[in-house]
Amino acid sequence: MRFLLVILGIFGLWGRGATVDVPLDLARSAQAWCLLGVDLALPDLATNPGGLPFAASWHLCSTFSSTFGVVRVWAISLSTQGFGAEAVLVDGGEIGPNLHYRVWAGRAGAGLRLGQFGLGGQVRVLRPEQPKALLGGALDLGFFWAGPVYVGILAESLVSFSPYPHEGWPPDLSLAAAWRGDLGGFSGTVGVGFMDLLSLPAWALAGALDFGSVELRLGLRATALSLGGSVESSWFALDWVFTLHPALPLSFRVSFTLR
Amino acid sequence: MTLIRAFVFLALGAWLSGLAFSQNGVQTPSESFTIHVSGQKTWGIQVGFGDPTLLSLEGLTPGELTLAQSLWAQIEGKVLDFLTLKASFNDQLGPGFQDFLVIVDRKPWYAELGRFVVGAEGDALGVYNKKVLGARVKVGRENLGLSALLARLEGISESLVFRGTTGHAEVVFPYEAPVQPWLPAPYLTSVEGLFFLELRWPFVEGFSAAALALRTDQAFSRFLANWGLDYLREIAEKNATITLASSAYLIIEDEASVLLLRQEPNVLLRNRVYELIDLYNAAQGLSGANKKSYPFVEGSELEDAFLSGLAEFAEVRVDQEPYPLRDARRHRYLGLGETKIVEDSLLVEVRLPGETEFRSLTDPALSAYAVRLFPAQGVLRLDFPAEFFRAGAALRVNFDYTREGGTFFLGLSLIPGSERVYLNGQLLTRNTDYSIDYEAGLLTLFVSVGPADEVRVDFERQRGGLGVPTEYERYFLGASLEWDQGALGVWQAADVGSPSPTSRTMPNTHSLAVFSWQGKLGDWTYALRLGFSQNVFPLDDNARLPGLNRINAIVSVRTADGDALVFAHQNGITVYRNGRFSAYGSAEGLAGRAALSLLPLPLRLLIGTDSGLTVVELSEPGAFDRVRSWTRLYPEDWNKERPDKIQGTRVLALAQDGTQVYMATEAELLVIPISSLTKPKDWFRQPLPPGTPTVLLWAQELYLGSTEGLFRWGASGWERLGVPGPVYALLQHNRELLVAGEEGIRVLRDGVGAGWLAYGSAVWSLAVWLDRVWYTAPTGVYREGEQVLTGNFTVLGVGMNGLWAGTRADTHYQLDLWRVAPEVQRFPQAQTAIDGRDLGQFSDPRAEEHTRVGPTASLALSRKKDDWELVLSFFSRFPGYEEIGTSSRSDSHGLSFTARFLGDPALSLSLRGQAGLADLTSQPSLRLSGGVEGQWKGPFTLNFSLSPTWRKLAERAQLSSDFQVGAKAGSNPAWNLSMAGRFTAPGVYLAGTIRGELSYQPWPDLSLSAVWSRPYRSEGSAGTENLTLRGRLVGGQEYAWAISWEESFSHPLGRPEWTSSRMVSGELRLARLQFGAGKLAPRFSATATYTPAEWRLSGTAVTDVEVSSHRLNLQVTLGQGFRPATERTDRAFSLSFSWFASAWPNVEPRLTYTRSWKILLHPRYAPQVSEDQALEARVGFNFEKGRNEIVLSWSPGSGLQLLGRLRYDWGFGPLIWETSATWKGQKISGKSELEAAFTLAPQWGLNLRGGLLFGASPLRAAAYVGATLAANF
Repeated sequence: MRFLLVILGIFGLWGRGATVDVPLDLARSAQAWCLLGVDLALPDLATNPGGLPFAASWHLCSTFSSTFGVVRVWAISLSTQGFGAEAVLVDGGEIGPNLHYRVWAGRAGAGLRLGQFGLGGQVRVLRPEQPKALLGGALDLGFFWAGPVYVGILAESLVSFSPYPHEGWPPDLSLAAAWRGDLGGFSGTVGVGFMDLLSLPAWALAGALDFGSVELRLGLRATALSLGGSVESSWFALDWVFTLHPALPLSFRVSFTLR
Repeated sequence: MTLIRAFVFLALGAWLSGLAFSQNGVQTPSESFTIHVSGQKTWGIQVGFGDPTLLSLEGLTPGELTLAQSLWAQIEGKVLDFLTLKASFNDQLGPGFQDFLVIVDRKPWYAELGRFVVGAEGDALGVYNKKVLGARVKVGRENLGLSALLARLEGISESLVFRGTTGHAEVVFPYEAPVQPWLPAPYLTSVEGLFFLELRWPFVEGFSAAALALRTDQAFSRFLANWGLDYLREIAEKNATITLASSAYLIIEDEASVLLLRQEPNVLLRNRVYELIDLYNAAQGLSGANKKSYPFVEGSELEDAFLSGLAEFAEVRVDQEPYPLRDARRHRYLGLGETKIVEDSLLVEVRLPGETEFRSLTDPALSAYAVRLFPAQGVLRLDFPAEFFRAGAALRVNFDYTREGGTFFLGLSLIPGSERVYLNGQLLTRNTDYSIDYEAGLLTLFVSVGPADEVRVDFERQRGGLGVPTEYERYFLGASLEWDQGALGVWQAADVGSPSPTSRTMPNTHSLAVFSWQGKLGDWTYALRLGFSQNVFPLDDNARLPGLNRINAIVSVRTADGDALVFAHQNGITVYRNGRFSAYGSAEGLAGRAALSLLPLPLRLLIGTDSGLTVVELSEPGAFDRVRSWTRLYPEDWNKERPDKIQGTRVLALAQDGTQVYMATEAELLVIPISSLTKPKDWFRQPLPPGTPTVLLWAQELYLGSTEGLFRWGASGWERLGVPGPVYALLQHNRELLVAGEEGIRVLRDGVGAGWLAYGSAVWSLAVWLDRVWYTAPTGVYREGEQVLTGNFTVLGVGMNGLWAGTRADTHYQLDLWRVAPEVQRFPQAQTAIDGRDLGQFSDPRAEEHTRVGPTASLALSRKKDDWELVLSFFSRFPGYEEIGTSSRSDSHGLSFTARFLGDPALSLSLRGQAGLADLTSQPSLRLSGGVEGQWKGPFTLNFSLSPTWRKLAERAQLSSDFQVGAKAGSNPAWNLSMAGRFTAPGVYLAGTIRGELSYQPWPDLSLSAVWSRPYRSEGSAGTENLTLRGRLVGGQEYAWAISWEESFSHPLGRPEWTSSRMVSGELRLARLQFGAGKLAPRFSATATYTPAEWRLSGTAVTDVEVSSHRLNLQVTLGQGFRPATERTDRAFSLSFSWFASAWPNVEPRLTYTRSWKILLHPRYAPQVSEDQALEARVGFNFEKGRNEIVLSWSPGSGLQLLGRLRYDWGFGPLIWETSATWKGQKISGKSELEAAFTLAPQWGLNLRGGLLFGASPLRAAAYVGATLAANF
């Protein structure tokens, strides 16, 4: 029961419905978590396969979080120009007498650049290991436009087979737009996103201000406010985010990125 | 743990200092960045194979990859000269332990974003040092400043005070449970006290033991068989006696030794039966559904009868002397929950049955009440009249107890950095004066704390998690404007969120505005302050209103014990049988909190609840009190093995036709063959007609009433009959269908309307009694139009030769049951024990009735004139005024003055006075107080103070004054004489202490001291007079010796006899003796102590021998003690030997052996001898690139252990091979682990490890491998 509350709590923070792809959403990096979905329209992040061809360099990002000491999420993602992949392990430990919860998840995507446009696809795989070994997967398509503003569209689960016999993995659609430019003398990004339009529609606003080695970020949606940032060196970056919710406890995560 | 070890190892082996880098900004290339980032990121992977038990010791599961990551980082730096960043992260800890702060400092702007501390926001916060997460902005221009703040409050402020080595506690012992007064108070805090047995022989510590025994004779076998537990007979005979754990009882020496049971006898016996059942299951190898389980509902009437019977066979045995458990009595001893009580601190107050206030035990009306304290055990003996122990009685006990050590437990989950620790008002410094573990809440002081010292700790505890449970997140926001001499601040702390149906509290909103102005007026400096606060749902007035409980259904059932009546209500069911009411809820077997519907079947009862269905088998005697009678069927059980899912969860109505049960949920109708009640896969689903079902009735056909009307189930589905909804009740009577609804009772004959039995008022329920129709309407109970009872009745039921009615609780949560016919009889709540509150739903109280508002104002004037400084102040604070963060609501109005003399350095003198009115709006009281205090420094120092206070509350006036006068002087001799106390009138009362100290050192080797204190009190027991004399003489040239002597005398005032205790100790260190190539350094010490409770002698001889490169240490200790009270003698003898050699290069052998004996002697018992020994041999080999160490240790308790550790530095990093083996109790186990660390690159390290685990008896083995990659930055 406590485990379910934690899962639901996390998704209250994130503002999304708890569907079968929970493990993949739990594994989002601190940067993506802070941007609350607007990251679909950013080429530096692997959340939209359509944006992968626009990535400037390779990133190896790892995230670990332990929510209330109950759910441990282990994630590593690699993205480079045109290609991205991610491996996730969600381990809930013992959630009842002789009952464990442990799920592996993976994601692999590739994209092509056509001028200002990017088109990509990704496969998401869910492999619940405990309490019962199951397998499921979904195919997503992503679109990206790098014009005066960045636009990202992600159509999820266009083809899917749910690992859980009595629970579907329905299609969904999310889109986001972001603008990058000069903000008060600094490089900045502002964006808006509309997520899960076919199931539980939600909006988000996000912004980031880049001071060179330091970037500060802010995300806002109806159910959450996120404050985060990052510091970068020549070979790594640290990203962090605090998420405030009107009714749920504070949450936190930190990611380490090599590049 | 192993991973952590690997990380630490890597950190040591490949640690790099923090990375500092500098680079140019994107937009302002001319300005520099300085960001210091240090930390470590690791990725780990491990997998193990083999025996699961062995692998679990390493935190592994066979064949399962274990992945781990960790990250910690410290970030600090400045960007573009105005942006400062400070952060500290550790992803192994919760959000409360992460820090992040960005500071923007570019004049006129100053802003903070992240975690910071507030507390200086004008007068808005009553508590300093609030840790928050949010943003704060300030902007200032010339004489104008504006600041704003928006933050989430991270914690809840708390403050704890510890007085020296004592703690304070208040314990209330009521007769009834505080929240549910119809239940008895919990055993340990009940004013009825602990069950006790007076022992016929003294209980001798170390010799005596208590056991719980069952008399397993033929009668016992018959008893078990009668209760269906005959399978336990054999196992009970084999395990008839078990030793009671020392935590289960207490021994005190009253007139005789007395054994107090810390567990209620019924609980002791219940646990004993649980143990026997477990033993039986283990002996028979039973598991899963075949396991035997405890058959009774705990606390039920049936269990009570069983345990009462079992008590006849149970006895407590102390040294084989039997004491029947049924002889245990109460009403004499209370356990205070702490030990080592400070006798003088005890304050006992009594609340007599029928009264509401506590009276002090010194009240003349309580002359027959006496208490006696057993301070060491923390037990209070009551000698109270028997009539005291009744409903309403209570005892309140305040006391201090002795704490040990310098560690203070503050409770879990403190907010890092939020603490302020004061010792006697002086702020202490973390890591210098104390350390603190924020997660565990442990404060450790490095400074010594005396008995009279006060340690105060202000801190914040995390909201949520392991900290303070909270229902809402809390935010703090506000703004302030400052100009020249004035300031205006507006602040608000608000809980955010809406209460859920089960929330117990309302969200609080506390707003406050403060205006202040200061300046000069002639020679006077003035400061004016005006404030106003509004507190909506303050923390002590924010309870939501529980819903009103109601009786939902009444049915009669036939059980093996006879007829019983069942009342369904919002908190479960209540069963009436044999003149008693018993309650059953989800803890006993109900599949939900609220019982909504009932359906009796032959020897079964169906209970529909708000979250499932319960089936109670009634075929056995005491069926409701047997665990196996109850079957819970939750919605997830309904859907097991069903391809089509049942949608509903709430069972709203039930009916049956003899072969099938009809169950209406909010989503569908379920048709259940009676033979498949507990087999949901055989249930059939049918649709519902419009509306939410309210009632079902089988009367040759199935009728369903809903909120939309009345329906009949036919071949083509539901058919609407001409009765509008809502329908509240259905009844078939004389071939007519009676339908109770909003307009009255409609009569249907063959489905066609045939008039009204009652019209013009809603009817909630229907019943037939003695061929007449009865019904409940909003105004009461009616019999065919004639009102029989007035009240808020909800339902009627027939059974046990009567007609019964249930009600809805009134606004005072009183809920009654009634027998309406043949005679009217009321069963009040005190008899039925039905809680009038519906604890599953709460409603919001009106905010205006739970809002406190109030203003405050103050004016302070000050000036200097000649040698005097004068301060005058006027203040007024209304009770509604509260500072944010505090719960104090003082209501005070008045004026005060302070005058200080500054003219003579040798004399300090101050005068003060205050006149005030307090609690003006509730209980006005006048208070006049003053004070004079001073100090004069001459040949000796003289201190004095006097602070009289006169109070008037209602018609009572009281004068009291604290006073103190003292003088002290010199260094040798040094003396100090003081008298302090308090005087109160009328009812003249004077109490205090006279204290004197003298210390003198006639020559350097001799020091003498005497301390005397004598309390005085004009009434009651004054306390204890104490005199302590100490002397210490030291001497010797090549050798050294010291003799110490301490003599203590004490006697309670009022008793002439003095008790004395003394201690004499001596120490002798002989000069080092040379012999050949060796040296010998012997030393001896001896101590003799005498106290009334114990005499003790002990002596120690120690010798250090050095021969060449060998060192030997020999130690012999002897001791003897005697306790006159129990005539027990103990003797102890111990030997210890150690050898260490540095004779051989690169080899370090060391051998240690200790052995001790202890003998307990008593005239009545055989001597008891115990011994212990331990041996450890250790050899260390050092070689060029490493070290090998082998340790062999043995003790009787832990067996033989061998540990080998090899460390070799092979250039890339250290290689560690660690092997351990343990042989204990004919079992051998071991572990061998190889660990290698590589430095891959300046920032990168890799750790590889693999190990083998093995165990014998039974033989098992496991292996594991793992790798950890670390990036240091």
